Amino acid sequence: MPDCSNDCPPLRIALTGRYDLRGLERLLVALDPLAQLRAPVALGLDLRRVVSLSAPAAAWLAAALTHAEKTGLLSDRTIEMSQIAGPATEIDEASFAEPFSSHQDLRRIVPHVVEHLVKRAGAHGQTPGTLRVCLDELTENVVYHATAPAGGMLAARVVESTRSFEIGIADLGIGIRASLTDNPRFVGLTDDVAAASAALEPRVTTNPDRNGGFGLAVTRGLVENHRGLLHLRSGTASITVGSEERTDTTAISVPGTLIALRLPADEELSVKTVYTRLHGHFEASLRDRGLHDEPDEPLLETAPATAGTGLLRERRCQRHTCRQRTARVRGSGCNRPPSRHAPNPFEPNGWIDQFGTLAELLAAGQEPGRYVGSRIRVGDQIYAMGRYFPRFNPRHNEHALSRLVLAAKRDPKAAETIASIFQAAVRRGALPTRPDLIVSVPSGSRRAFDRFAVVRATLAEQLGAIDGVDAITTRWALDSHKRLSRQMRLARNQHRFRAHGVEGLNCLLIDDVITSGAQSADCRRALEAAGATHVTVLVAAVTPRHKLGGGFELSAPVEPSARTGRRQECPSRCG
Amino acid sequence: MAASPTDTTTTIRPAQQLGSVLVGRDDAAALRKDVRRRAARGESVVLDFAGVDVLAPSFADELLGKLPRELLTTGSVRVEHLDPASAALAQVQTYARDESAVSR
Repeated sequence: MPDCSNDCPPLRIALTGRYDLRGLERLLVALDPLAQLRAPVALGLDLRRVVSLSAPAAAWLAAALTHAEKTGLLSDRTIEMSQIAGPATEIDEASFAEPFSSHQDLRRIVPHVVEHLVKRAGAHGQTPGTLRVCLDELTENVVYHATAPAGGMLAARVVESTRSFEIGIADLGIGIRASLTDNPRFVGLTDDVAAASAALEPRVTTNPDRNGGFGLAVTRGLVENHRGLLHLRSGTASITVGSEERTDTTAISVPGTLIALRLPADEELSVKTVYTRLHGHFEASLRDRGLHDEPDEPLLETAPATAGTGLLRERRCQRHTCRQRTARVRGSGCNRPPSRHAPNPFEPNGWIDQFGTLAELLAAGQEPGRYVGSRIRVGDQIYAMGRYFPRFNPRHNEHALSRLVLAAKRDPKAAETIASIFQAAVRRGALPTRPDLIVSVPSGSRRAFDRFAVVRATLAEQLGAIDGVDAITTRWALDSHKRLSRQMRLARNQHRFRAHGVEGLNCLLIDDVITSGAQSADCRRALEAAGATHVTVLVAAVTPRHKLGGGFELSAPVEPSARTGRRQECPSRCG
Repeated sequence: MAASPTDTTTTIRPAQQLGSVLVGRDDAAALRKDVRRRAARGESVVLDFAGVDVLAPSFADELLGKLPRELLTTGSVRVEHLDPASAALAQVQTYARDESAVSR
């Protein structure tokens, strides 16, 4: 260690106040002279007025000090670290900072840190394994990619006030941008923000031959699933994902990388859900490139698969259009001869194209008269009043209901028309039971206009029910679902909604379109969890995806057709 | 790694040596080398993940992603009792490796 000469002015840093996640930037600014040291200096570090030190702050402070020490920029005599005078309970937990520089270190430290967190929070189930996976992936990134002379620093604590795990991983290495430029795909990358954003995506890594590039992406997925927070700081990039979404370029350029992670301690954290999501993304990307067919699965399974039966699963037959008994099925069809199957109602020129549904006829301004099938049974107690063809579908422009549904997202007049369609459907017996409460799937955060307000009010008045305007709330906002697979949508919406004030009530849940059924399924779960006795889902339209193979069941009472006057019967006569 | 040879079939159970959460590239690389060595000798290898709760992405990539594809397709190496989520991840990683190999 070089000694400081007398003409070298001492570096004095005094930290004051709280350095929680919001105070992290203030800490980085305060410690910037220490992190940027290029020549030996005497350091006077005053921590006496620090009240609270978050785990990421502790990790960065420890990393900066260790780096300066190990690179010979400080002599141990020059560190003046005073006793911290803040509330001991807040400081003690943050002191759990461990240095690491090799796989051997990680094998020892990570299980120890996870054990400490799990014990302190009383966590169980998949949480310990999930934390272990995340911490191991993030710290391993430091060992592989950071090229940090002093290794990295891992700090973690359980914050009792918010019941959350708080984790910080810091290194003063080369940073994400410099690391990524070793990958031929990123040669010449000069933007820290672009580099840090890319690092959060799957399959982005320094050396694709050696590494997979899934560690940060999996952690990001976990944070998004559990409404946590991931803050990534490297160079001038400052990216936050999860409960807050922010991307900034900062004035202070951080050498190396700092990762701050916050996850709820009272929820069971599941990395397996993230894996399933990734797999969904993967399948979607294959489909986009025409390398993979749409999975031949029903939109909503009406019966759970029987454990241990492999391909043969016990569930409702997907091909029959009448009320069908549970059949032993392979894939989506039952084991009865195809000739006895009713035609798929969604096939071009099929049943619905010939006769239309109530909603489609009303949207087109036609008089429905007597009709066959006022609703399409999508799943157990889930009904749609018509079909929805998305904008990219060639049939969209000619299909009045599709255009109306789309317009109702912004246009109050279109929303009123939708309300009148709901009203007509209910009048014609679309509901199996009379509901006590009308609730709707909450709109996304970006839509200020509540397109269901008029529908709820209309139905509440018609049925003498309560308008459950705030009965369901969203726990977090999501970006567009477009182009995501059903699996992906289900994962993103898991436990996204919560309900209150519905105990003992028969609820009618309304929505405009069902595509995957993910949102309505989670709303239904929330209502049932909050004590609703019965939940019926009624939507304006359902998206008939290709290869559905008659995944829907028409369960409305079969009535004489207006056009044929004949009773439509199931060809298999199984109803 | 616990291995129990029966004629020409060897069953490797990573959980016995590494625990229920499999993390880290080092251990996975050692395991992969062991599997390849046995397969090269003409043994059939069963990777039995019974008792494994979850695989870390790096472990799955190092072990299954980097394992020569023909060993899996010819049945020289069989994977058993891998939980569906980890299997889904392994599938993504295997594909990612195949694709990057093709694009090079």
